[in-house]
Amino acid sequence: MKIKVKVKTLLVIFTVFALLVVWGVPTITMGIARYLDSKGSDKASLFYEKYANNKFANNIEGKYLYASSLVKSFNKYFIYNTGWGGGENNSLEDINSVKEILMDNLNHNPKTRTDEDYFVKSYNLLIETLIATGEVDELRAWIQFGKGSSLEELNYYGDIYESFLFYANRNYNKAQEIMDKYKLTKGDDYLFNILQGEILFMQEKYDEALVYLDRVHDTHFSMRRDSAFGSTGYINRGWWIKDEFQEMGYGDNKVKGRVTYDGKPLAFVEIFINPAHGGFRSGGESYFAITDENGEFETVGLKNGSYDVGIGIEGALITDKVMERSEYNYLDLSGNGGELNFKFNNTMKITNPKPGEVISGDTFMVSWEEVEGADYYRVEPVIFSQPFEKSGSSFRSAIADINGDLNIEGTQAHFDINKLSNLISGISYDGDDYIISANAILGIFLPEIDYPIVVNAYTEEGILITSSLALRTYYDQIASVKFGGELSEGEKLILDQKYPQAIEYFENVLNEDPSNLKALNYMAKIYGLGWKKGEKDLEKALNLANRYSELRNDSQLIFEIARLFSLEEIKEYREVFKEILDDNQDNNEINYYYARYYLAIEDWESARDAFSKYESYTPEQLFLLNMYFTDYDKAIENLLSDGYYLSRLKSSRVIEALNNLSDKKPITPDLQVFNDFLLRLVTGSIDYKEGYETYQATNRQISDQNLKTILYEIYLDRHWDTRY
Amino acid sequence: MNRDDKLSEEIKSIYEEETRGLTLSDEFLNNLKKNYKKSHRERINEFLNKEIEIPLAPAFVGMAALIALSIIPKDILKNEQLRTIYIGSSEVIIREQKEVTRK
Repeated sequence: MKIKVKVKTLLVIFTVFALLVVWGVPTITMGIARYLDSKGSDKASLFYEKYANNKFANNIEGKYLYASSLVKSFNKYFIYNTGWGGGENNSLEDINSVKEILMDNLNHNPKTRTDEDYFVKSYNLLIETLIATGEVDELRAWIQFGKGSSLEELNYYGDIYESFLFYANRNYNKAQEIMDKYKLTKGDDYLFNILQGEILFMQEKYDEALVYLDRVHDTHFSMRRDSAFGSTGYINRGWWIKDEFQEMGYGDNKVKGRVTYDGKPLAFVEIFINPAHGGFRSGGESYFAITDENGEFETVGLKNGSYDVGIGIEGALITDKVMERSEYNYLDLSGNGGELNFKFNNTMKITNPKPGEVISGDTFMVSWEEVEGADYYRVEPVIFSQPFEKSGSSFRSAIADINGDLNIEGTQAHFDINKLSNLISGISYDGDDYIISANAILGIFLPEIDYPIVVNAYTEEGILITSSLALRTYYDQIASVKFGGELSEGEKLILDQKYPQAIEYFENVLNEDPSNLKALNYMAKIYGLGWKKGEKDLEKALNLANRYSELRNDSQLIFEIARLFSLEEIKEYREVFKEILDDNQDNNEINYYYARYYLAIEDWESARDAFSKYESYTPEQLFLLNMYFTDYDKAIENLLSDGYYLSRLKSSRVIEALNNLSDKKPITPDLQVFNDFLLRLVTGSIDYKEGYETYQATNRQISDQNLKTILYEIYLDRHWDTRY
Repeated sequence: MNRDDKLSEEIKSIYEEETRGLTLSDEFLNNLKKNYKKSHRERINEFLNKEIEIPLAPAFVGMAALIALSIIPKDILKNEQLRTIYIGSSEVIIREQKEVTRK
């Protein structure tokens, strides 16, 4: 259809259209951006970007809104000994863009009142970003920019952020001097109250600090900020000081330390402390210090006790970093303070395979760049419980190379997937019926599945220096292998945990081909581990594994099944079990299983000997058996060794109690009760639910204070105090 | 009415009387039109009043497309979904690119 229109009418239409483009398009773009933003859509930043780049739009406002849409929040990512996580997924790329956009914004002169508002907002967001990412030099320069600005508001913020820098550097007098300038005029300002409260808190003037921090908490919602000084933990500080802090604070122990990345300081990292009870909790408000521009920190005083000291760091900063585990311990404070350092290192690079590399044969090679100071490396494939979706739980454990070495020297290793297919790992159970995970049966390196490969570098003492897997990274940057071929029908049934059908399938396979290795392997594991509660058939499993081992001339599978026997099962099959161990003398873990064998037959002395020969780590059972044999010096040695697990038993209280016992043995009745308790622990016969009652009953029968101390610490270490 | 006005009226009536019944040829009229010099104002008015035919649908589509292009970001069709999985203590972000197909 056509219409006739006069040129002058057309010109009027064009003018209206042009006005629409000049005024309407930015308005509509911003409207859409705001709407998407309110709905939490990621697409909002695309519209903000479009708005910011529109020549007819108000640039300062647009660019600020675009920048702020890229920063999700400055929630911290927490790293404790006992756990980690949290934070927002700010990407490093976005953070860098934010800085660039805002710095550019601040090079313009605001012309209108709106411009001025967004200019100040841009300044604040830039400083928040610089603090969150610990960029001291840039921060200092922009503080001067604020102080020298012709805008009075910016002068104030410049001063406040300068005061923050003094506070972070623990120069509280200088920080306070600046705050005093604004005491009368800015008493209701959110940032002012936060910083004033923090300055007083870090000087242990808690009551005074609470006056300001309560004001922060009572600030009307509309006046609060998303973040203050590059963090979001301030809002509930007052509440925390009045509540949880009472339990830990008000002591004489100051904890000092340093946070570094490749030796360089990480500034403005928050230091968190939790009692050493196991898990970790933090809403971000419970920090005891922040690092200064040299990465150093010093907390307020803590009471004596065992603590898990952690850090809170901007999530974007953990990209491509690895935490060195050289000080992986609870901090034991007993009046003299303590020291703890946090070291981040760069990731190491795997040179082969590349991400998604397809392997056609039965062997593959992994190579990596040498890491300075590394004594050995371990190669760990990652296995997902739902491997095609890469979801569900995941686990990784070191695999032995073709020479059987787990700890690999040099910068490359070769692996044989036929050998690795015998391994049983990643055992987990689903539901009330305890349906076993498919990975436990199928093993690793199935066809069609992508397996990420991780390489870790360790010192001679077994301390992790670095890894190819950063604390945060992108999957498409991780080395991985995928094997050619196709999954069989039976493998697919196992993968779907349809075990009865899988058993039927593999029984048919074995009827047709009794020497089918895969069928023997899977069936031995299905019966050996029990695909479901009550479906274990060890006789069958051992028969199938024997047939498999004879055909392959390799006893690894039978060992893998036997090593998972419970103590009762070992007792029942003691001769077979011992034979299997004798046939597998080369296994790295053999002493651990000998020790279990002796535990099963109640030969405690031999069990202790076998545990003491075990080198991978210091088993808890060895510590308990040394106490059982009243060899308290050896027990102390066990606790203090690097190989002992993260435990509050390593505290000075337990060491002191053990030293006292070494000097003066407890009376026989006490010893008998305590030793009975120890043997129940060693054999794992105290169910978690029975822990509380067992502790109470044992404690009642013991009078020796040192034994009572150890007993109490075991009680706390095992979380028997937590009742659900 | 003054003397000059009277004269002009008189001349006009004489002129009308003399030319009554006179017919101008088409050729003359065309010639006259051809050689007549229009003023700028007349030309502009003529141009503004000129009627042109516009196909309605393409015009609307074109304008709508122009507005849409000015508003809609070019990456809007790219649907990058980020999914975070955990491998040990590491957060691993899976970038799943799903481009919306234009059919």
